[in-house]
Amino acid sequence: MESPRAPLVRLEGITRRFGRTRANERIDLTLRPGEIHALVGENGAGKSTLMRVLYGLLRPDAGRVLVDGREEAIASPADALRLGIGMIHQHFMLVPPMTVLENVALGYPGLRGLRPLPRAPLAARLRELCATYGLELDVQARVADLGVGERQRVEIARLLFQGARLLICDEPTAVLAPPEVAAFFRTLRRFRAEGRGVVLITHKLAEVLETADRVTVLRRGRVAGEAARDDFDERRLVAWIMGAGAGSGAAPAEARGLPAAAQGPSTAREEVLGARGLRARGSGAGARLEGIDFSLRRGEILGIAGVQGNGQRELAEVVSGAAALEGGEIRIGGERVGPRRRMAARLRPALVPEDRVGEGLIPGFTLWENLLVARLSRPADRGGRWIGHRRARAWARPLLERFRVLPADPDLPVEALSGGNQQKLLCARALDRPGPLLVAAQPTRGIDLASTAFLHGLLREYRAAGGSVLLISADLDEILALADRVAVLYRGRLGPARPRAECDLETLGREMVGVGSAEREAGRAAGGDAPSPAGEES
Amino acid sequence: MRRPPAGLLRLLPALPALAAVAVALLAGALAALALGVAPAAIAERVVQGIVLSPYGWGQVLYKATFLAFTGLSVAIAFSAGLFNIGAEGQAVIGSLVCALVGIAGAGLSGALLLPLALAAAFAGGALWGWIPGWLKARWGTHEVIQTIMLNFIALALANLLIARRFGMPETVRTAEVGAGAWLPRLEGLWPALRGSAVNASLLLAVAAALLAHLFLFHTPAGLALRAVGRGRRQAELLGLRPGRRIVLAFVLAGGAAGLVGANFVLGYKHYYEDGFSGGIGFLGIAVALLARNAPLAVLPAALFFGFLSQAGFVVNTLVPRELVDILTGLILLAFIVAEQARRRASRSWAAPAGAAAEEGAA
Repeated sequence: MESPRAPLVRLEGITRRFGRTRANERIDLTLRPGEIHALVGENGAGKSTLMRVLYGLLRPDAGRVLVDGREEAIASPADALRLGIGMIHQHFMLVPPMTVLENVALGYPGLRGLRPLPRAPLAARLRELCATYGLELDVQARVADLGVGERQRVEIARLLFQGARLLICDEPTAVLAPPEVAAFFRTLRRFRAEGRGVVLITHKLAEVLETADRVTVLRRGRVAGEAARDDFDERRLVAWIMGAGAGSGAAPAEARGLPAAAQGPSTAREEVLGARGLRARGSGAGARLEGIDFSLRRGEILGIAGVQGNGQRELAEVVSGAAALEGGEIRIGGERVGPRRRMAARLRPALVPEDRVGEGLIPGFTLWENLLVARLSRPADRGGRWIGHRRARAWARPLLERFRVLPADPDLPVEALSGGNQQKLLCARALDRPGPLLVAAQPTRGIDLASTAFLHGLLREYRAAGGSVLLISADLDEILALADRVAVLYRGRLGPARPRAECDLETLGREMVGVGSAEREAGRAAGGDAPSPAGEES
Repeated sequence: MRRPPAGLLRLLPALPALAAVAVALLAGALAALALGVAPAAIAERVVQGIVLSPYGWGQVLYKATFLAFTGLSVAIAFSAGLFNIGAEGQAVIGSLVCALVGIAGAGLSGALLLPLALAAAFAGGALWGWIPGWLKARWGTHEVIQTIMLNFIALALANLLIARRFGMPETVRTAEVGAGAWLPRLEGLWPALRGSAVNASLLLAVAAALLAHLFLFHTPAGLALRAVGRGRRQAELLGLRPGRRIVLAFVLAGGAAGLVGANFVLGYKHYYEDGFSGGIGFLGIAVALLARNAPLAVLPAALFFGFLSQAGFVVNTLVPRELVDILTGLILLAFIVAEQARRRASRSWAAPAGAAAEEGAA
């Protein structure tokens, strides 16, 4: 906590511009050994730019980087690694068909050229390292067969293996279930105890409050505030993040998306979307669906909690009509869709897919094209056979403004938006009409507090207007903030849906990793005293 | 990195093409010197043979017409994210079918036979494009391999049919199509073009480019096609049925290539002749590349390569015409490199707010 030791890394006056945008403006940052340093700020505040400068992915326009007090020109990640700086990205840099061991060996400086891989000694060293840091890993497993949490542990093990002294973690917990999060932070603390340094980029203030020894808040490319552990609290952080004047009143609670207004659900209303014994093939790193039942009613948000890779993607695809069923049936809009019947275009629910870049927005399309393209599958909506560009722009602009997509310029390519604004665009596309039904998968993953709060507001409005939402999310705060009823998806099976009032974070968290269900042995992190209200369905 | 003034930035998109041409001129001059020919002599020949000669321009336009059709073919397919290496085969089949229909309907009046023959050219190419499209949509086969193989099949098939069934004795060509299907040469409009093969197909090519542009950028179906090209998975989740769009793109691409038959069969020779295509399908890839797959830009790109091809012809007595092929390759290489540099430059100079700052290519 208190470490007057010599800094590991110092960034001095880092400035980086993109066109007229100042992503970083004279930023100073000191990273000390034995410290977990949280880097916080909204999307577009400049966190990633700063870390990419440190990791050698970007050249700064001005400023210098000192490692161990010596000025270094870090021109590539290889340079950074040589200096002991490692980064865990949001998207893992692993080679899926290779084993854990092979992935760790890749890029290890001592292993080059044509010499055969000394597997046995390597494996022994890797096992020892994993044991030391509490990283649970099977070193012979293929990465392709591993879940997200395990893949992250492979990344960490690889960096440790290469002798990283400073670990930069970009939103590391976004993909983890609560028990995995706990294990992850235990690893970080072990790391700290050894006198290594950690940079933790996160949107979750609870994590900052719980684990950070020091925090730096960026806002619009500048340092908005910096403090050691004893000198900040939630209110102060929020004030820094949001800018002066926003830190008062109810802002923190609202910004965190905690239950603000509980809307009364009505289980007596008619069913809008029903699933009976859904079965579907698993795709890639996902899981097959093995008999899913649920019933979504009018004006209701049904939360499907679960860690990624347990069938979320498959469920979203099947329910939105993008993938075929293997068995069971979907009841939608008074019609039944079974294995042999493709869902009619007019029945398809609006969808917010979980991967906004790879599944949602179309790269290279402008904002207006991205909005209009969602209307093509329904002939009645697309407004004729002719697309006038001026008219399309005029149609898109108010939509962008209503959903607070910034900048609200319909002609920009979609890549010009920051992550949070891309997500708002994706939601605008799905929510622009009061429809009966929305399937939203991880709608706020990796975006900042203000955007999250705004999107949550939109979903509540949608519900208030009589819409129904199937909310698939790994973020329990989000589920508890929005859902009227909650069910947990684990290994392709869905637990019973219970009213939110009967759910708490801890129980749900355990169910998400299978503790408290029939597959008790799968849970590792939680204690053995889990009550088990969740039965295995079907 | 200093941002250049806005006026310069606006010129940026044109720079790669200019750079490519400059490289080609320089390389051509050097090659000529190496061969012991004064570059000025070559330039003079080109100026006299083409620039100052209406006939020369006519020939340039005639050659450009072929390239416009095949260039459009490649560009349309690419809009849907597909590499059509098969324009050559599609052009051959389209032309052959066009000729056969023109022969079979020789007794019909022009008002009937001409549209029929044009439709046949389009349909023949479209059929040859449909095959790889359907194979990809249904079975996920790779269209590059398929279209390359279909080129061989098309050429061999046409050869076989001419040799065994439709050829005139002792020749490698068919009989003439009915006179009603002939497209008028432009020398009728402008006598100075006398002797040049340029014909009304040129107008057809311009119209085709315009239609392709309107279709791709101003209709819902075109938007969906481009959406599939840029994000197949996204399109699928949006319910756009990517498979159907892929088939459609290939049918349109094949049809555009098939219209080559209008230029050669209906506009020039009035019969199909084996081996007439001589690489126009492949050069169409170069045209589409230079045009960055924009249908309207295909026209000037086709004109440029048409000019180059005719230039190779007029300087043939001074330097070997292979030199033009080498220049063509050099131009493309230079263009690709310059284009890549332009993209990088526009990314780092013009990246708008937030983009690279937060997401970027990590």
